[in-house]
Amino acid sequence: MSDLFSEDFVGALTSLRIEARRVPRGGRHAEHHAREPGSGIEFRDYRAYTPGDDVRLVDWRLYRRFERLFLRLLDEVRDLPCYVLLDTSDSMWLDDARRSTAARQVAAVLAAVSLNQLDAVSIHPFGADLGASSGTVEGKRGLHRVLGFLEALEPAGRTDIRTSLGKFARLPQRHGLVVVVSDFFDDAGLDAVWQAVRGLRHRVALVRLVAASDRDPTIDGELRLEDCETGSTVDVTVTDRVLTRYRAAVAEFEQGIEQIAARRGATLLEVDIDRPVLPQFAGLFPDGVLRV
Amino acid sequence: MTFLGIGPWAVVGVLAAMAAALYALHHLRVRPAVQRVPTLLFWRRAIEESTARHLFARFRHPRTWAMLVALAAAIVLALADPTSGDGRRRHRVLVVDTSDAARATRDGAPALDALRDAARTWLDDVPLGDRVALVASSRVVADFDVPRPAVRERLDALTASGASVARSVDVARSLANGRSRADVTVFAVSGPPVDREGVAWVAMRTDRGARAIGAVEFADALRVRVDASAADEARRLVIRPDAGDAVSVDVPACAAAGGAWLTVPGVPADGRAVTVALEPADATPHDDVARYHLPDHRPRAVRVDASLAAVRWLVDADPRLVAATDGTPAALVVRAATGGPTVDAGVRLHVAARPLADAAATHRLPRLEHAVASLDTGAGDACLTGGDAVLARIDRTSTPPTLTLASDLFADDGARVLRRAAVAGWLARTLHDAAGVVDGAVVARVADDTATVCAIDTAGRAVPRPIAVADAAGDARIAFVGAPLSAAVGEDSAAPSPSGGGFRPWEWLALIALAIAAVDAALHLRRRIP
Repeated sequence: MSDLFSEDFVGALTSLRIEARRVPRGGRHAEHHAREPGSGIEFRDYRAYTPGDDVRLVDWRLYRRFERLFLRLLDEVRDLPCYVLLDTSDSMWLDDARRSTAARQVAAVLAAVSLNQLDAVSIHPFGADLGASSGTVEGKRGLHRVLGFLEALEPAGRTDIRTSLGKFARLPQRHGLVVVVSDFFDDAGLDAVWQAVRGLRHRVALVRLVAASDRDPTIDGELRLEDCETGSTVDVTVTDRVLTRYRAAVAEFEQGIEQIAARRGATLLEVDIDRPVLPQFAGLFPDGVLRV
Repeated sequence: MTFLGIGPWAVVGVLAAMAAALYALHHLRVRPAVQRVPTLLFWRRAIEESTARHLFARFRHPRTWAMLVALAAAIVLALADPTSGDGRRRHRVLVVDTSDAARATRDGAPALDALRDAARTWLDDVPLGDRVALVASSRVVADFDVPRPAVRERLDALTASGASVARSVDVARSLANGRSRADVTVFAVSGPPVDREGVAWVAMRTDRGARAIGAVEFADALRVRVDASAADEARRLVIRPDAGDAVSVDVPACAAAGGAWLTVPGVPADGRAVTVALEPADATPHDDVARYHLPDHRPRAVRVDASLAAVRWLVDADPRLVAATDGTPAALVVRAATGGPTVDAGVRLHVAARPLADAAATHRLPRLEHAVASLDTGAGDACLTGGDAVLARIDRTSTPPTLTLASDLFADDGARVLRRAAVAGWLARTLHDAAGVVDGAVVARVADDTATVCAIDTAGRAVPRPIAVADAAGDARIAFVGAPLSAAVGEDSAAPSPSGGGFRPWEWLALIALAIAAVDAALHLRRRIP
C-alpha cells in the first residue's frame, strides 16, 4: 500500500455498496438483483403455469394441494460490470496532482465497492485519447491490481473527452455502469461533454472533481494565464468585475454539467479535491448504498 | 509647412523614430506574471469584453480608434505647432545703441558693455525656434538667416560708432516689416523716444555727471531729449547744420533726474545732417554731442506707368498729387502739389505695362525666399524671379535707380496677392541692403487676402507709408495713406519678453489629451500587481 491508498482507506471501502436499479442480462452470479425472476436460490413468488414454461420450475406440492400448476419464481442475482473512465489529462496533475490524486482515490473507491459486490471492474484512463485499460478485474483480491494500475498512471496530455469516450463506446463491452471521473475541462466546452456522454450505452455516473480555487480563484492583478494542457495564454487584469464574470462562467458551467447529467439520466457526484475523498463518498452513499 | 523650423522629412523621421520606440516599448513592457490554470474556459468568458492586451486589440471599436487618432493628432499638433510660411517662428530684431551716448560710463564701465550684457541675456532667453537679427549703427549687423552663435559673436564685436539709435530703430522696423510675428527690441542708453510704437525699449542710464543728449527726433519739428542725472546749471542746445546757420535754444536748469524733450523751432526737414550739442560741455563731453540726419520732407517725384488704372486711382484719390509728363510717353511723374519745385528724390517706381523679360503670364514661387537669396546680385541689377519670370528688378546703375515691378503682380488675380507680398518683402530687404542707393524701406503686410506694399521714404526718420494695396478682388491701388510702419505690419510687434504667454488651441487639446492619458495610466497602474 502506498500513501495514495492507505490501509485505512482501503479498509473503509468495504462498507459501501452500489445498487443498480437495472442489471443487464447475462453475466455472472453476483449480488445485484435483476428485475426479472431467474435461476437464483431465493424464492420470490408463484406464477400460474403457461404452456412453454420450464416444467422444472413447477411446484408439485402446490399441484397436489390445489390440482393446478404453479411455477416457483426465484430471484436472479447478477453482476454489474463497472467501467471507470478516469481523466488523466494534464489538468488533473496540476498543483502537485491534487486533482489526479482525488480522481484515482475515487476510482479506487468505486473499484473496491464493485469488487466487494463481486462485480467486474475495469479502469479506462483517458486524456487526449483513450488509454490502455486495466483489463477486467474480478474478485475482492483484484483490488490490489486496480490500485497498482492507478498508481502507475501518468499525465495523458490535453482533454479530448469526445474522442476518448467515443472510442470507449465502440468497444465490445457488456452493458454495465460507466463512471466518468473528470473535471470535464475540455477546451471544446460543454457541447463536447454532452456528445461524449450521450454516446455511452450504459448506466452512467458522472463524478466531477471540483476545487475551491476553480470557483473562487485567489489571484489578483495583471497575470498571464497559461492553460496547462494546451499551453495557450491569456493576459488578464484581474479585477472585481472580471472575477464576477469568471464566477458567473463557472456557475454556468456547473449548471451545464447538471443539465447534461439530467438529460442523460446519469447520477452526478461532486468530489471536492481539497477535502478527503472517503468521507465525501460516504456522504454520497446514503446508508452506505449508492443507487444508480 | 514647418514644424518648429524642422523640415517635413525630418518630422517624418522623428515620427518614425517615435513609432519604432513605441513599438519597442510595447514589446519591452513589463511582462505579467505567468499563472498556470487547469483551463482557460472561464477566463476567456470573463475577459472577452475587456481584453485589450494586443497591439491592435485596443482599436477594435471604431469609436475608440477615432478617439485615439484624434488624441494623437492633438498631441502631435501641440508638439509640432505646424505653421505655413514664416509661420509661428518669431522674427526678433535686436537693436543695440552704439551712439555716442553709449560711450558714457555706467557703474564705471562703458555703457556699451552693459548694453551688450543685457542684449546677451535677452538673446539667451529667445526661443531657439525664433530668428534673430541684430541691428546697430544704422545697419543690419546680422540678418535673420545668421545662426545664433554668429549673432552673439557679432554682438560682442559691436563698438560705439556714433550712429543714431533712432536710425537703427528705423532700420530694424524696416527689417521687421514684411515678416509675420516680428518685433523690435532696443537696448539703448537713452530714450525711449516719443514714437516707439511697436518697439520694446530697454533704456540703460549712464552715470554721466550732468547732462547728455538722449535722443533726437523729428516729428513736426526737431525735438531733442536732454537727459540729466543730477542738478545742473542752465545750458544751451545748439543745432549746427553742415551747411547753413546754427540754431540754439536754452536748456533750463534741471534738478530732477531724468530727461526732458526740447523742441527746436526753425529747423527745416530738408535732409541735411546736423550736429546737436550741449554747450558748454560737461565732464563727459562725448555724450553732449550727437549727429542727426534731418528727414527730407521736400516734395519728390515717383515715376510710374500712366497707363495703369492703379496709377490713375492714385492721382484721382489724392488731391495733393498732380500728374505731369517728363517727356516719357509711357510714364508720368507724380509730384506733390505743395507749390515747391519738383525734385527727383532718387527713386523711380516704374510699373511695367507687361511682364519683364518675356515672362510667362503665370509665375510660380514655391521657394521664393531661396530664389531671392540666389538672384540678388548685390550690385548693379537686383532682380527677383518667380519661375522663369522676372517679377521685380532694381536697376542701381541708372540715375536715379529704377524699381520695376511686373504688371502681372497687379493683375486681377487673387492668387497673386502672396506673390506681391513676397516681392515687397524682397524689396524691403534689397532696398535696405542697398542703403547707399535708397535710404528707406519697402515693407509688406499680408492679412487674409490683401497685400499692402509700404512706402519708400528717404526721410531720416522714416515713416513708411503704404504705396500699394492689392487684394484678392484685384483692386490694386497705389496711395499715400499716411499709416505708420507698425500699422502696416499689422501685428503687435511690441513684445518685451522673448517668450510668449498663453496656450494655443491645440496646446489646450494636448493638455486635455495628456490629462486623459494620465488618468488612464493611473487607473491602469492601480490594477497592476504590486
